[in-house]
Amino acid sequence: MIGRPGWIALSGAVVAFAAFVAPVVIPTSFDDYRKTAVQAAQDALGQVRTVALVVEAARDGRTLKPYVSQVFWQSREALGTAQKEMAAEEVPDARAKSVEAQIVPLLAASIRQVNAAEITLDDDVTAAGTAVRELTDLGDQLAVFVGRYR
Amino acid sequence: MTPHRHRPDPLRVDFHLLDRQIIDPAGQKMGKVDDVEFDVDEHGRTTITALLIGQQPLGERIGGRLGQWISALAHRMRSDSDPGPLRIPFDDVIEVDSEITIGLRRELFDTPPLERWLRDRIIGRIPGARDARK
Amino acid sequence: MKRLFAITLGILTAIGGFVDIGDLVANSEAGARFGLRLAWVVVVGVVGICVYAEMASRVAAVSRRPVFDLIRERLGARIALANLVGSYLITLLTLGAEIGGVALALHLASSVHYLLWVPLAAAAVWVVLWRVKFENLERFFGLLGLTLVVFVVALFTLNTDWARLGSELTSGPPDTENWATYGYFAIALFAAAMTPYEVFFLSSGGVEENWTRKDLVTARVNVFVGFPLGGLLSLGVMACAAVVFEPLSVSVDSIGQTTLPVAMALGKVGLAIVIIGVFAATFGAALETGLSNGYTIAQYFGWEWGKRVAPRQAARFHTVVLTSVVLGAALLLTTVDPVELTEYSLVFSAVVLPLTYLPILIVANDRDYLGDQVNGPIRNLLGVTYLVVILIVAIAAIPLMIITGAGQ
Repeated sequence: MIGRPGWIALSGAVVAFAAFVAPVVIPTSFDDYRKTAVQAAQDALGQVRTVALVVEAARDGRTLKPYVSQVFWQSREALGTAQKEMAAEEVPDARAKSVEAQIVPLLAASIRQVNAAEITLDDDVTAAGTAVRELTDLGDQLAVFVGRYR
Repeated sequence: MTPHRHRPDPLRVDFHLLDRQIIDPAGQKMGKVDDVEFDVDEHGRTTITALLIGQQPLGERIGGRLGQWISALAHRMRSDSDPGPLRIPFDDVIEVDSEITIGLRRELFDTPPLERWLRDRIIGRIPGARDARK
Repeated sequence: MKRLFAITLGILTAIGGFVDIGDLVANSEAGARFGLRLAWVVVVGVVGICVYAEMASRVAAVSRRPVFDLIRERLGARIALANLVGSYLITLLTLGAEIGGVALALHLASSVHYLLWVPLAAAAVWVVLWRVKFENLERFFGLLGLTLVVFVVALFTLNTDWARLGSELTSGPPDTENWATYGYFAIALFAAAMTPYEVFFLSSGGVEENWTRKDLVTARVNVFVGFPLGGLLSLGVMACAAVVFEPLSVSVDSIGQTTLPVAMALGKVGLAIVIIGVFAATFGAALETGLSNGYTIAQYFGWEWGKRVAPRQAARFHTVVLTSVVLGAALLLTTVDPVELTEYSLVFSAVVLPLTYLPILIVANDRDYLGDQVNGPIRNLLGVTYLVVILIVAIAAIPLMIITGAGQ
């Protein structure tokens, strides 16, 4: 028989296993890979479209400088995390390979365009329209990806 | 004996005394009734002799490993000059209501060691520690 | 006239003081993902906090005893100790989240990284707690928090599709979500409205300000008018996110996003006001949670507490407050995302809700403390109904967190 401390230790071990050990030891299936990819795409979608809204508002003189730079910082952080999580995921099979071939460029494009948008805002506000259009396009591509694999 | 003292009748130790707040006549907080001291006379009659305040009696009453730990912590903080838990003779209790009021000012008792230590070493040294903000 | 002024001031303070980082995060996240489909939870939560805040203030006014004091008396030293540990940890987590909110607001206003603001924000919170008068402190930040009304103003300025919002009010989760995430966000919203520190703070404040039966009317008006209007601000936050982010299927995970609808609607001035509002709401809540940390421990052990006595006379209380502020800041310096910290503080708050609210219900029925002011049948019916809801929420919180991967 195990006593109360035993039960506590056992349940602690189960939780620790479920939270930390299992995700590493158990190999990823296609389904796991797909889920991670959808999550990353959704995060990127959120950032890209948010930045588009902020750029538009900034162009119309509706924002404050420190606010805009904070939003860009936050979105780079979030996109960086999404990219890192995607890279850490093992590609289990051929189907996952094709998912990877779509999501990785989309994430890279998100980071590129968010950076480009920030530079545009600094240099030439009148060019912001182009940046917004590009971000919107990218957002739509991400939305298509999410819709396909959800 | 104060003539106007008010105590519930019958007085139940667990219900009316244990874990209640004790305050002095000025409303300053003394602590909680962490334990109660009894005396049994030659006729086998039990009377309450004192209320005890302190982490040590509290830990002993809570029991188990946690209680031991609380008591040990209190024990470590106790200096030689300090006689242990604060003991308030039950005769000094004036009123047992939603708070227990005693007839003696807090200043007449030893300051609990933790309070004294923190006051002298930390809080008392910060500018403004003497000002009350009403 | 003077009395009317006092009541108005009290109401305004209650409105501004209602919203904190938990409400901001939970409402904007829920609005972005569910539109107004979870708005009913805010209403349920506001009624719940009204029911229990009224009980707690009645107990404070009649028995002159704050809530945590009575928890030990009613549950005994042992169970109350477990309760103390749970309540303290949750309040500490909330304090960390609020300090994070202050730092994020400062980041938005200055573009200086929020982690650099954390130590400064924590120091400022502590200095204000140490130096400033209790009522002034509550009023200043409460009134400044009223600026969050810009969310409601923005809602009427934005291109709001009222018909869509209206139709969402009564529908279940959208196609992109499921019942588990729906439940998870419902729990976060409920916990945000019923955060335990609110009653610790309210009842301790009442005792400190020497409330008597006469003050009970004022206290009730504050609660019954102030909290629902505060809930309206929460709904404003939710609706703004629903208008701007839901159609784009953008999920909100930063305060920059939470405040964006206001900038879009009202421009620079609106943005400045909303940042001030976020700052005031989180700073005020950081003060309340910091004090509440001190209250819970001091009231369990029967130590001197509060701001009416000189800090020297309440060294243990002030040490707990100081330590808690330092720990809250340290929590953020681990670089945990303040918004995520807020989400977790809400879920774990949900778990400990019964520990706070059950003793209040018990004491509010005790004639020894309340005499003729004990709960009547209607208050008890409401109290018991809510206790059942609170229990369900507490039991469901962790399983739902695991099933949904914290709402993903």
